[in-house]
Amino acid sequence: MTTITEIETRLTRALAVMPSEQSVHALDQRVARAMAAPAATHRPWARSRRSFLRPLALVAAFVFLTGTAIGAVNLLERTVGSDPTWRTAWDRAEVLGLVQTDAGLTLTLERAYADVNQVMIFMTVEGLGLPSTSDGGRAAIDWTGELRDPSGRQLTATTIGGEGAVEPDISAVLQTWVGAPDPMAGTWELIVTSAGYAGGGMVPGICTVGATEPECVNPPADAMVHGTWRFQFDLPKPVGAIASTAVSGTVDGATITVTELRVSPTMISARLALLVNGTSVAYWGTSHDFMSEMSIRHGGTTFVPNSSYHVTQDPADRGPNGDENEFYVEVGSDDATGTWHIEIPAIDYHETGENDPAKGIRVSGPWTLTVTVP
Amino acid sequence: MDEDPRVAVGVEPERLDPVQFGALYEQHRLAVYRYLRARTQTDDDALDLAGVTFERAFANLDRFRRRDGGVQAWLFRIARNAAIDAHRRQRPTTVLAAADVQLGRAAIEAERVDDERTDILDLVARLPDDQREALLLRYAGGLTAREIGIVVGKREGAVQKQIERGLAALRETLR
Repeated sequence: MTTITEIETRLTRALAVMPSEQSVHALDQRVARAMAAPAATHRPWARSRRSFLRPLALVAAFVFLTGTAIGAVNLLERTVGSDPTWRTAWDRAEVLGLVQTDAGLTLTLERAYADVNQVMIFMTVEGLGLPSTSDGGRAAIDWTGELRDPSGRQLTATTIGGEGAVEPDISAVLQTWVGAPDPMAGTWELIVTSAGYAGGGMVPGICTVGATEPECVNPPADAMVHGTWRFQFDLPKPVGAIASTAVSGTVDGATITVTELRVSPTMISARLALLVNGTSVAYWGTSHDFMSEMSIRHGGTTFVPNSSYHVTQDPADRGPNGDENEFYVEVGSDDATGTWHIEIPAIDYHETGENDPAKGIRVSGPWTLTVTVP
Repeated sequence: MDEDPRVAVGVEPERLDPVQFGALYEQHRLAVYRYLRARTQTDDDALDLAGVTFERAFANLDRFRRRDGGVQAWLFRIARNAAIDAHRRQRPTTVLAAADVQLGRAAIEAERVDDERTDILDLVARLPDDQREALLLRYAGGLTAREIGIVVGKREGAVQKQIERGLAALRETLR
């Protein structure tokens, strides 16, 4: 019987097409010309213009890094880097320093932060011997756990992968749960149930079929360490403003409604719903064309969402305004009051549930929706 | 081109420096090309879209954010959208579910090397959209399940299941 590994090998070989040297040369020349274009055509770093091509689900963002002789806090701080969202959360987070040891692993919850858009934890894991890549880089690790807000509601906590390394014995974990937590001060609970290297099968980020590195030829056995690391900690009321609205606009039968706008120090998020001729669609997004991006304007500043999440993946969750997406700007604001203008130049929607832009039906706007936050 | 499309891993940069774009291009061009080759009818189409991909990437370096999934996921999102845009231009009214199968078969015809290869690509072309996309990004592009999730807007676990189901379907047919 053909094994999955054999299938992977055959598939990899079948897809390993090599272009001709002449073709590669032509491609190289083309890219070189693009790079040689006048500097004026290349936009400088624009802090308020962060956008990607199309919506992507942003439920959990994470980074694992490693270090040896440096302290856990320094390691976390280095991991935070200059990313404005992480930096804001790190700087404003509650300093906790809670330590739990089980099954040979010591987890330290250094800090935690919550606003009306997301919750972030900053944690280190000590005691894992993680496989490294052949170049000494990161290897993939997983951890599982759950986070409960003061009302006892479990936030979306997924089993996730990240990166670690063998040489250091400490990993920094930054985990984000995107979504509005319970808007109250109180006691939160984080329960980590496993951490480690998943091993076996696919080794994300390291091995492709046919790779000859030792860790790929003989992948280590599942080294997930199971245990219970339970942290309880108090956080103040999540900061930020939430405006529930029913502001809508219609173009060519497509009605977009702003059902919620959340503004916090780490993120601006807008929840938008779509009905087409009074009927909910299966999926929709703003056009991924570079030249027709959604924007959110407030007080002379223009923000461009750079990710989104399809909220009503389950049709049963759809409300009277139709299928809902949340659009996220990964730069926050301390000033929520005033008028917010949301402009959507074009959308693609799908009637049949396939999350593939190629099947989308495009409607050109613009829709300009104005929300006032008192 | 380097034979091995894998990408050396390391700490992703916070921002992408235009000066370093050449190295980024060399590192990822083969993987991007292979993914696009699997989605297009001809080698010229794949190379053209690879060119579009890197042109767009260079023109939009300021949009890269490490926390959104890393360089590879970012590039493949651009590549995937470029392929989708190109397909739209070619067949504005075609239902892509069928068109993709046609494209896959056309690619097979253009690249017919041996029966084994043809068989498995033919089967991949018949897989459901989500499974086919995940397999192409994984085995032509070399992306991780997490990166694929970022490219296609799904969670890592869901992508892993699509890969597993796709591979299981191929095994079931080929055994």
